[in-house]
Amino acid sequence: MQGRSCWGGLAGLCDRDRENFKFQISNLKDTHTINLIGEYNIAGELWDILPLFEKIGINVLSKITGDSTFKEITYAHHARLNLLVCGRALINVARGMEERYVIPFREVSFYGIRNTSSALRDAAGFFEDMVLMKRTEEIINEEERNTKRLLSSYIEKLKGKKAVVYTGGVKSWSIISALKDLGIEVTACGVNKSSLSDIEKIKSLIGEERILKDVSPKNILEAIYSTNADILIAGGRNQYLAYKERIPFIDINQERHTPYSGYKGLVRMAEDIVKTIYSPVWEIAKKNAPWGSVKVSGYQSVRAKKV
Amino acid sequence: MNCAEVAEYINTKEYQELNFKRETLVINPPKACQPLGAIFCASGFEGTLPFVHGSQGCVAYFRNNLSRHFREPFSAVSTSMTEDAAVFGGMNNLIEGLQNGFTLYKPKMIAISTSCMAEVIGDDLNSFVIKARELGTIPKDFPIPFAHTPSFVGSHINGYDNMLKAIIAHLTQGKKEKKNGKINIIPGFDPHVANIREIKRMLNLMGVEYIILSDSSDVLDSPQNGNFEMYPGGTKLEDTADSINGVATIGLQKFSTMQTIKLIQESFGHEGLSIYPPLGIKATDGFLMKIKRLTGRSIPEELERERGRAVDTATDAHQYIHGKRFAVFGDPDEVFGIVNFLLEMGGEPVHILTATGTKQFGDEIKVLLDSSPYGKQANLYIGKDLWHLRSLLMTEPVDMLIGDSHGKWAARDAGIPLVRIGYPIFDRVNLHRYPTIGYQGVINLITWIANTFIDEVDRKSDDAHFELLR
Ligand code: SF4
Repeated sequence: MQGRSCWGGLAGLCDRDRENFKFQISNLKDTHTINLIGEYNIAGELWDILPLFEKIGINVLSKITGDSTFKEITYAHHARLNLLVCGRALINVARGMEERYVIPFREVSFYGIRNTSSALRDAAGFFEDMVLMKRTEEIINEEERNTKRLLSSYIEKLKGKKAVVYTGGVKSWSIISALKDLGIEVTACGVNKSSLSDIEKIKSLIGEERILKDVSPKNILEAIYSTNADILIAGGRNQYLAYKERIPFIDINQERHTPYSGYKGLVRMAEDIVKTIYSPVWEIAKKNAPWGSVKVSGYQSVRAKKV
Repeated sequence: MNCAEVAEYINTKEYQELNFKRETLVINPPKACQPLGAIFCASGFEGTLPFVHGSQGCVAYFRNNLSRHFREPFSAVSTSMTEDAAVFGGMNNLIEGLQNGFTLYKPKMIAISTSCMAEVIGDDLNSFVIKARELGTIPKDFPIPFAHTPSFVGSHINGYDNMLKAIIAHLTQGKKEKKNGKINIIPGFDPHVANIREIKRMLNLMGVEYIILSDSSDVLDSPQNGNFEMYPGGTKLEDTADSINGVATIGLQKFSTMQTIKLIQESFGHEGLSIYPPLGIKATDGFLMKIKRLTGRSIPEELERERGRAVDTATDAHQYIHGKRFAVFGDPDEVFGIVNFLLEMGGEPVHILTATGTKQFGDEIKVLLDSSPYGKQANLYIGKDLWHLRSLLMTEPVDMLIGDSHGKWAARDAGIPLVRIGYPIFDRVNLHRYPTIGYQGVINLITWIANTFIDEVDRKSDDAHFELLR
């Protein structure tokens, strides 16, 4: 159950889950165990991540809190490592577990090829197991090759495109990095919901001058027009603001319905971005009625000046 | 081969090749008879009795067919030709039929078309009608336009065209006076009668005076008032006569109005043009600009705002249609319009199939397809049937089929949804009450197509992926 983790508690009472629980307990003896903290299974994203860990041979004990159960949280402290996915919301859980159970944590992200690969590598590297590390490298290799093949036609269309990013809850820096994987340059990034360390990372990726502290609609639009951006990547509430201004858009926030994380998710993200940027409706939208009496006003005038 | 093997085999490429070699057998052609189009056309004139010279069974089928599509009673009569008429000619049947029709149903006009039987024996409508007038069966000045509508050539769209041409030629004879300032609109064989209302609404907004030539909107979408009316509306006969004095005539379908437009170009002394159906934003822009040029009226802000709403609908829903693959079948004009609309939205027509359709149609739609990057993979099949279409859907899958109700089997076998546009639609209610043309039509088409895709996503989602937001 994605995004509704409290229901997982109910599911924990059913027989099948009890079986599952027994299985998990037997796996506690496993040395390669981790928890995923701050991964909420948005649009089913977790289900693209878990198989990767299974493939490389790392046992994910507990997910906090996407597609989780109360039961699995009760044995979370048996894990040897915590992977912290959304640092902002659940950093205290990771810190608390470090203090109380001496479980170290690593901050990771699963957006983009490079982030996903380095998350797997970090996790595998932690266990000091040459066989695991070798297998991980092999799988990363295979996944990357496969993903790049799937991405090639999209990247051809996306290379050199510019995006303004305002992601709210999701870590902006990891999306920026994912976009870089697609050849997209981020020309401005809203940060009012990012932590200080996130902001530092964003700075190092795109430079201080591209950071957008004021994320009012007016400012977002001005950032788009002044940098000639091709797309706005933001939360759903900005979707129709973008459309009204004839700006392509994809929804990156928690209510979206396409999973974008992991290798597979990046391909979906590329497809969605191509779909909106290259939609022919913008051509029509940009031309007013042929008998044209519409006056350029509002934010459009900003664009008119730029063009 | 046993049944299961056959079921499997007919989905293969190998079978498709055999299927396309078929010469002497037609399976489910998406077209109807010429006289069906003729009586549909005739019904759009005030007090007009659609009258088919030929066998009764044909007319029973036409009435049933039209009645089921519009969910309205449909009145038409036949001359009930039987074996002896086939041997001795149908003159007596025709004269008797005219007399009965005239006295029983008190029409203002009788519009004659023919079914195959009369055409095979070569009955001469002209001399029969003259005879009927001589005999005094029918008053000398009573209008009886007639058209030969053999079903072994062409289809309902030609029947429509032939009948319309006959009615207009008949009623406008000797009526040339000074210009009336009006514009004539020929809707064509359009099963979405709401399109006629939509055209009238747009013209009213522009303050343009018009005459619709064959206005079936009040006849085939009539109010429920507890009374069956045989003639609930239609274009007035005086208006039809006066159409010769209009400033211009526009056919909103090109391939179903060819003969009529030709007649107008030759004898009306004003500009007669046929356009592709105004389906889609740019096509509607083009239509309004033409009206503006021909009448000198400006396009009011209300239409401009409406256009803006259509564009908004297109941008709001662009991600659901862009890049999707479609198969489209139906009448040439409607197919042309839908393909144009899809290209505008970034939809990719892959299979385009018509039962009828001339070389000219083929050439023109190819130019349309070449004009867009989304038309590159389209294949055009003219003169093919729905069994061919089935093969195409199985070997080269698409995401959606667009066409009339007859496409539902092929769509089901292919596991794709069918969006119903065209004629006939027997298995959904009220679709003919929604326009497909104009800006309003853009909104409707996007709504149907995008929502159908979203329905599919919901239908195919397991519990975990069944989402509130789409
Ligand atoms: S094909 Fe000819 S005979 Fe058959 S229903 Fe049509 S008009 Fe009648």
